[in-house]
Amino acid sequence: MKNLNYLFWAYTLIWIVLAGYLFSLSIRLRAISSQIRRLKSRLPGGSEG
Amino acid sequence: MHRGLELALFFLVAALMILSLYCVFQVVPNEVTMGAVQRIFYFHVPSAWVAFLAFFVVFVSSMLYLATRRLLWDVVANAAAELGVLFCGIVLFTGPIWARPVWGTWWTWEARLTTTLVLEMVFLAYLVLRTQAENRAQAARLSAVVGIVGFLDVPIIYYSVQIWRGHHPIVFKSSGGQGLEPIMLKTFMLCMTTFTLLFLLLLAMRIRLGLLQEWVAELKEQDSIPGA
Amino acid sequence: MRAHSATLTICGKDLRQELRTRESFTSAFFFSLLIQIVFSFSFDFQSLGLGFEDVGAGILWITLTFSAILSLQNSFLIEREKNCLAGLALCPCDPSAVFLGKFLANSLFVLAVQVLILPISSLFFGYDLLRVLPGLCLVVTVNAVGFSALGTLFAAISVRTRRSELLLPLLLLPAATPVVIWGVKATRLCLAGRPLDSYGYLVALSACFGVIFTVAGVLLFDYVMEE
Repeated sequence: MKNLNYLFWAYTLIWIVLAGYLFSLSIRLRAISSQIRRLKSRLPGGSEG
Repeated sequence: MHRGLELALFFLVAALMILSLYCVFQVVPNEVTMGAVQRIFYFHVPSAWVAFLAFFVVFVSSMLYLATRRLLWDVVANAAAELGVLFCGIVLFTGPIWARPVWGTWWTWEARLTTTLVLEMVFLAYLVLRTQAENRAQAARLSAVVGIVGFLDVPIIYYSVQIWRGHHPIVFKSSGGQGLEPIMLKTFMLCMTTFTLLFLLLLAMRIRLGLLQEWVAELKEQDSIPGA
Repeated sequence: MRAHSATLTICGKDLRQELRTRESFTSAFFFSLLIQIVFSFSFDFQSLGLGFEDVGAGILWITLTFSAILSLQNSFLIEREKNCLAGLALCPCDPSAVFLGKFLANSLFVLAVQVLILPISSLFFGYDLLRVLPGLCLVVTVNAVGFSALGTLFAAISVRTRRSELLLPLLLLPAATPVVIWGVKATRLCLAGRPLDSYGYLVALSACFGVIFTVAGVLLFDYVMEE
């Protein structure tokens, strides 16, 4: 079983790319959630939408 | 997509991914000519399929946007384009890693890899266009046109690069055999299913993010109107 | 206004403007000239033992591609600078007629530059232009027109954005890859002295590309020109 190194790196890179994207999604979701919280707190009372 | 459905899809994808990895590393036999490194194929080709599927989604939602002017379709197109670029990137990383031990060189200008590279550039330009537009409506409209033209170009680009070049590993033949061995074919189809569902999951998540961003932008706009 | 007369009016307007100022043509022509000069320095044909047929197709097509992008950009930048984009959008005719007029004018501009550049490249690189002229003219014309079809649509898109100079090449170059590939391949065969049969199919393919994206432009230009 030669070339296991290449196999390892290929699958690792796929995982890194997918994990990186999921991480970026979660960061953006968190940012938008905090914006929503800020907007809600500026409302006179109750929630909107 | 309903949160419960999204969660269910997440667990399904996770389970399928574990099963796929198990099959790729424990179940399928070594390929005769290329050895262990050929197993990259089981994730490389589904990534290419997903990239193509994503660009098809861009095409359809671009047309739907121009027809209905509902921002939802623009959000879908944007999400799909991002994912298309992502999975194209995976193809472009794993291709050279596969090529190096098999053909002795990192990059080869062979038909499918070159096509993927050009496609990646087309849809990267699509994403750049969105950031450079002057306002939201213009971004949606102009990128919809590019999304439609870009996708129409896909088969033409593929065909032209094929004419220009030639060889791609004929992965569906083991040495002298008639096609993939059944177990390899089953594993391959499993990986295709896993990746398709993964794409749908990521698309749902990205659309949800996009819709939230639209909603917030709309609220901010209303907020800035005095007396609103 | 009837569609074909609108097309000819728009085309005529662009041509008249260009004849008056010669801005676009001059910049595209000198740019092409400079590219040819840089290539003359980059490829020392004699010491490398190369003939022009080996790399000539690539050189000619890089020149054409980049000078065409310059011309295409100019054709809409002028409208934007003179605040005429709205005027174009409000033309009392089918938007597709505006697209066709622009496309025709752009094709003519691109070809006009080539008319001067080909003899100059023949001078710089020492190949017999007259021997290959008919075939070369056909290849360059068909491919330049195809390139302009897609280029006109993308130029109209990019001119409305913030970094239009960056965006046009970014959009156009990958999308126009087929026409560049076929153009280079056909030109190489033509320069090598092969008969038309050997590269005729490539010219036909480029012509199809031109037709497909002219139709696409006609159908989609309306959406691009909206304010």
